[in-house]
Amino acid sequence: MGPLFNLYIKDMKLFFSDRGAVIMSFIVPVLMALIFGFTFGGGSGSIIEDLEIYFDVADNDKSEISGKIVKAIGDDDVLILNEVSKEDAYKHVKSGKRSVALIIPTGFGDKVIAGDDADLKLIYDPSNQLENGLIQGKMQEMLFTADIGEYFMPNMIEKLLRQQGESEENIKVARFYIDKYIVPQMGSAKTDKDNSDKKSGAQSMDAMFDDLPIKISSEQVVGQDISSSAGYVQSVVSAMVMFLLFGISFGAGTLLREKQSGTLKRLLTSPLSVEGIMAAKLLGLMTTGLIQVYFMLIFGWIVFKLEIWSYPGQLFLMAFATSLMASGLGVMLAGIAKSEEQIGSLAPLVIIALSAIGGAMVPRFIMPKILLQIGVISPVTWAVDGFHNVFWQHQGLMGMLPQFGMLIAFALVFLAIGVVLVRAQIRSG
Amino acid sequence: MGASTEYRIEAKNVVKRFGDITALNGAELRIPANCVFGLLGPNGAGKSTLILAILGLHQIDGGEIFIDSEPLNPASYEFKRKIGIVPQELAIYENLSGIANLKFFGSLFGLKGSDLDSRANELLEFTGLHDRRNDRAKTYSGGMKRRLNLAAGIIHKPEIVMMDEPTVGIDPQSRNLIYDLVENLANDGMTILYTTHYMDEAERLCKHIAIIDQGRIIAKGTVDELIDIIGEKDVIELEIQGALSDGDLKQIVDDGTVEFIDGRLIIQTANGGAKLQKIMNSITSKNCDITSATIRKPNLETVFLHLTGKELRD
Repeated sequence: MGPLFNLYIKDMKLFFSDRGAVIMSFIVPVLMALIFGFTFGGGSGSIIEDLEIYFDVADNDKSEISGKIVKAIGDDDVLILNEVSKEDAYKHVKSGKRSVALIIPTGFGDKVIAGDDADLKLIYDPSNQLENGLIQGKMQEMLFTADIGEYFMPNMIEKLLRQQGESEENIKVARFYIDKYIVPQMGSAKTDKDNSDKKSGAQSMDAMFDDLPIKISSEQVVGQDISSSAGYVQSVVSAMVMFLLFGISFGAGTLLREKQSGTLKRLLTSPLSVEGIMAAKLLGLMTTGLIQVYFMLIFGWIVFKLEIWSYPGQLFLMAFATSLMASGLGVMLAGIAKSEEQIGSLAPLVIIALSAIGGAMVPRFIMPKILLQIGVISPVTWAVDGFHNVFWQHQGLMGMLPQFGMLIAFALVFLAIGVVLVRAQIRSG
Repeated sequence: MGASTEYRIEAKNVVKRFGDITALNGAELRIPANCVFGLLGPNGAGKSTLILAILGLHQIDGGEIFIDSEPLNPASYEFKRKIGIVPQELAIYENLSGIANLKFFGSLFGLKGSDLDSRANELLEFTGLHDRRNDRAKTYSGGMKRRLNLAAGIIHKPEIVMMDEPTVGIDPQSRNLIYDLVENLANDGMTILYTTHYMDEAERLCKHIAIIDQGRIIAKGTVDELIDIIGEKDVIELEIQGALSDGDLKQIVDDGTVEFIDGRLIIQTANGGAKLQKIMNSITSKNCDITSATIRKPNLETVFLHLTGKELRD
């Protein structure tokens, strides 16, 4: 047993002395569990409980009824009301600022009171399926919680009775009792409904909804002319950005390999300056990054029909900014790590963390608020958003400026830190 | 205080610290032109640090370094063109072929076109790698990689080359090939600073030698001068069967030391060869049999041991 035990102990010692193996075995899984846990489990129970959805409402009617609907939206825990004009509502959804918006048309209130069919219109971007589904459900709920039944119920019932062939006498009697006994009860009925189980309430509402004079129509305003689905865009862009970072970090390791192998000494004793060597390295990383991005874009075009030829300028700028950011990150990691082995341990940890909070592993729209807030510190967030905006929202150059600018800013910060650290490493031999 | 014009490299009182560790502690070195200058020292003595300081890759904390009487200016093109390095590491790109490696390193110095081709091929012939010039370096043997490493350091025809243990870890045959290459370069007028662990290598190649220990040059001169400086004696080693008293040991030689270690009698005395027969007679007269006898002339190893108390390969 002695030698076998010694062999076992030796293997244990080797494993725990390998920082990369320990990080990948213990720290990365914990990190992933935290991120996925917060995303899918939520600290307080579910994603929906933590959600806050900014919701644009364009009330062109300005009637008492539309006002009550707007107020009900404002009182909701999940929806954060933002009253805008109809033009801005369209603009925000088309630009990706909002996923869904509500348009209340002129004359809506009059139609409701008359018992005629009145339309509310939801305009939406289908790429955010979670918010779309939630808001559609919420809107049905709102029509009951908005306390507007008294406006349309008497006329609606009177109309129904007339369609059924009831005599004017009977209709008049029915109307008397509705106005005297039912309408005053509608407010308390609403309160009772609020306290009931939401699921059963939703089911009964679904059944009643078909008979209401208020109809909710929906209009897709983004992506209707796009041959690929939002899911394909998300998957190609996510994989591209995450593995670009992995590829570049591998490339950045060559700087450390040069140091370890002694070729850096040769380079430094050649007429090249340190700055020249680093510029050449950066150019190499950038080129590799651009090739990697365009390889994935062409793959997306062939397999998922991504429209990569429609926006060459925007895509090039995003590819350039993302590659520069990734190269900067690579240089910074090379500056922090002391050897190629160290960068092999450090890079996966950093890249997986940035990708997870940046929406490259799960879409950001299903993340809870806390992760959405943290996500802005990840350059992956800006890269994924930027490419998504080009493909999905057809953003022009001005529209993609925030993402482009943030990526360039990340790149400059990473590069500045990286250059200082690498120079210090070179000086220390 | 200026530099002497007779030396290509002159290091004066050079100090280099890494945190609390003083790697060079007032190192003094003067390397004349057109010679192979050996720098000997155990691991951690400061050999590589001194080389890197001369190359300008380490900023020194004290002292001065002159190249051809001019203060060291590692950023100048003239300096970089004049100096070459053969690092201890295999500083080549293993995924590139031999000729691609040489062309790349040559191109850094502005060589191009047919000049670069002919220089790379000339060096491949010179190092015996021409037949394998298009093979990736990773397929080369250890000795071949060492020769490529050497060729890469001289692709731009430097006048001064730093060779930091260029034969470490290779077989004797490959070492001999590299010795020939170094001798040829020296014969062509190159000044070479050569560090090594191997005594025979230093004795064969180096006209001048400096011994470095704990960041200081503790002795310098030719091989003969170094041996003469310490007055080292011959070492006679005898394996004997039988017992000798302390009194018997004292009677073996008049002018030297006698120690009995692990069944071997170690005698250090001047002119050991002339005295050997007399010593053997003295021992056999004490009823002891001698089963083997060796006599060693003093060499750099014994000089080094004497000066530092350490084996060179410690």
